[in-house]
Amino acid sequence: MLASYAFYAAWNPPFVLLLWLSTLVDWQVAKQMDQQTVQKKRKHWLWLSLSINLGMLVVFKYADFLLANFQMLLTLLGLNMTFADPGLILPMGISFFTFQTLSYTLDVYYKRLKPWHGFWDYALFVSFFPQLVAGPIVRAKSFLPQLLKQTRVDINQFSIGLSFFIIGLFQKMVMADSFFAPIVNQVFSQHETIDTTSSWLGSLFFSAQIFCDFSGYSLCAIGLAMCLGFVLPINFRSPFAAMGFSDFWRRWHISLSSWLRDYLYIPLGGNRNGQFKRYRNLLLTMLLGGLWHGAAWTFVIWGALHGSYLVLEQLIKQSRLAKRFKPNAVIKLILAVLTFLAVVLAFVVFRSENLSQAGHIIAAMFGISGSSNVTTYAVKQDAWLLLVVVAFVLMMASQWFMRNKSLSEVIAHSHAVVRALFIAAALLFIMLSTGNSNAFIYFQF
Amino acid sequence: MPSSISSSKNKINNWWLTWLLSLVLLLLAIGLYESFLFKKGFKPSIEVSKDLWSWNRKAASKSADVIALVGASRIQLGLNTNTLRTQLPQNDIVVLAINGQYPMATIKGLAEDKNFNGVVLMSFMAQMLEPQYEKMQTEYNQYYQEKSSLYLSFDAYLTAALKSRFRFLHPLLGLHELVNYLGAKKSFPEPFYVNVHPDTSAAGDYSMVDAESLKRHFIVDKQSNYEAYTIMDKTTWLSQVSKLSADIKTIQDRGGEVVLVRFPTADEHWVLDELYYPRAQFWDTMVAEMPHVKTLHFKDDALLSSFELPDSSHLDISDTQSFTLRLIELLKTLQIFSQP
Repeated sequence: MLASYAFYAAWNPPFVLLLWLSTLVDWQVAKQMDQQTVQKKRKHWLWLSLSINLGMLVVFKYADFLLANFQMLLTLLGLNMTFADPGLILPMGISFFTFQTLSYTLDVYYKRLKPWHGFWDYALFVSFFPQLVAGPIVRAKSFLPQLLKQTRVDINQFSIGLSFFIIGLFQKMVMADSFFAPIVNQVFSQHETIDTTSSWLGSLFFSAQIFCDFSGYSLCAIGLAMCLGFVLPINFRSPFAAMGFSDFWRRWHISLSSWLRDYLYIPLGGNRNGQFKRYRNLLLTMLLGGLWHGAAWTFVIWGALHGSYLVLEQLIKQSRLAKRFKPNAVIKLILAVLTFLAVVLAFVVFRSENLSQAGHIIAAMFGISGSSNVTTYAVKQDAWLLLVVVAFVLMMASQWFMRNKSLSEVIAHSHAVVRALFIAAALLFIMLSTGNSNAFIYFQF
Repeated sequence: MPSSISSSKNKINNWWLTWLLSLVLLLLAIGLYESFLFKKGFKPSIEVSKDLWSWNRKAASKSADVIALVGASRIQLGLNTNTLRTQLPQNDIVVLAINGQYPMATIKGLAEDKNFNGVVLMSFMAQMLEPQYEKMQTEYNQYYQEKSSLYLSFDAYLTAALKSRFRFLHPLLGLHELVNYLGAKKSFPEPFYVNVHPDTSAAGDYSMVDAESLKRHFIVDKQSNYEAYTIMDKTTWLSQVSKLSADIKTIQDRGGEVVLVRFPTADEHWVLDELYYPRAQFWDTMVAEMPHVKTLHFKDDALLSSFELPDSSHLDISDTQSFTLRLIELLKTLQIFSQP
């Protein structure tokens, strides 16, 4: 636990106080809720936790956004008022640890969990350094009981953990930062004059970049935790091989999508109360899920797009034709490609700094450009691009191959020589790629 | 533990083989590549990131014994920091020079930093004070002020220490650079003539390149650079000098010192310098305007002006030691350093 606090303090020491605040509040709230038999009083305690945790998020993450939009609204109404920029620093990983502590409180509130007996165990659950700043978002029910077992980490578990860590590092440093990020940055910075081919390359590569970046971090966190004797939930399961959007969300950022399902979608009514409310709940959940990623309209629209995709999918699934339809392998592949392309389109909005940038890139993808000064092949056609395209194809192929497999099983059942070759090659590529590293994209959330 | 892991316990022994083989393969690959680079004549080098610069910048504010080298490539390549450290063991040598960027923002940053009271050796030339060049090192200074952290700076320091030991970690031999070079030229790159040390000083070995064509290229570049802008008028010059003077005075008032050193340029480069920024009109008026500032012009010393500059602007590695020794002698006559 001390290591976890030191890890967080290395970034910005005063923000450890926020971590403590969140820890203490939810620890105390859960205890108080458990002692209360009157439902109304339990609800009061829950509101206290929600207000403090979500209040912290609003102040540190959304204050700028809310003020800017309020100011814009006043201007539209003819009132010229200027608010000072609060200039607050976004505490690293605040969205992750507040959701983690909230899940504990909500589980106690819904009586799925009894308050934990040891405060320091609970404090470690909130601050556990491998996943503190970018997930996976861990549930108390799966983490805290692990602290009761004095398990010895055997060579098998340690080795799989270390392999996860190396694969994660490879995904982040080589694939995300070295291969995809430079081309993506180039395309998005030249959005006004971008050509169709380059806009497609930039969009496809951004999807690959964000997957490798975030899945890479998750694998490092899971691997490191495994080396220390803990099991964290898998956060990605070949999402680009998904057939349909509900399948995508069972594979992409699983710890967040399951959090949103359990603590937002289901409490809103979920699938109950008719089709209309189901679609409303889906849209609302995805909108808030989008907003969770950041205080910008691009994230809200990204969430809205995914909400609409899910609603559309449900509508198609409800149709008589779809109920009779049995897809063969080719149709399944086509469905996966269509799903992926829709996801890519949404990621353009996610990556863009504003809606105008997203508009330019999407227009260029479909051969429509508002500019008369379209660059011919903004992305340089060189040996590097060829290598990146090969890396992209291999990544997509590996997702298809791993579609119904677990990474730990594939690693455990591989031949020692194959494993050694892969590990040595990954480490060599990592070493040759040093110097191109960027911060993890999900640190900002 | 997931069942998938526990179910494969029969493979336990294989893991020892996996790690042993991985290590052997990795060491073999690195060893072969490193010895290939050694035989080709490559030397280890590092890159000066904002985090590494921030590490140095923080060190500059630690004691009064600091000598901060401020400027661009001329001071970065011209002063031998090993010689400085040997000759001035009581001082901490900190390199704040940034290649290709004039240092006015850094001088301003040091003046505004109440913790800085060391000595600044600043490589100076008149063009630096052109208003359009004032903000050149601002990005680094702003990064140091607003974004740098102990963790990131220390990470950059460790990375630099590692890169300074291995050729295969050379920043110009990264995967991206290598693949593109091999794709375009169908051959392996030749060794680089400039290598940056972990303290961010650098050395140029001009025997490895066609210095004459480098010089021609450099002079054409310099000429077009001078022609691209209107040279500042006297009023602007004096106003800029007055700003610099105020920054220097602030450092001096805290017990620090600043020495402006005009590093050598040669041949057509010097002719161009004199054509666009004549010494009498710029340097000499500046010296007259700032009597409290210590200055050194290479033309005022027979030895400093006798060094051959292969590209007309930078010293070769073979000359940096004697150049540095002479500069120390001259600085001692200006009573810059505290005596041991």
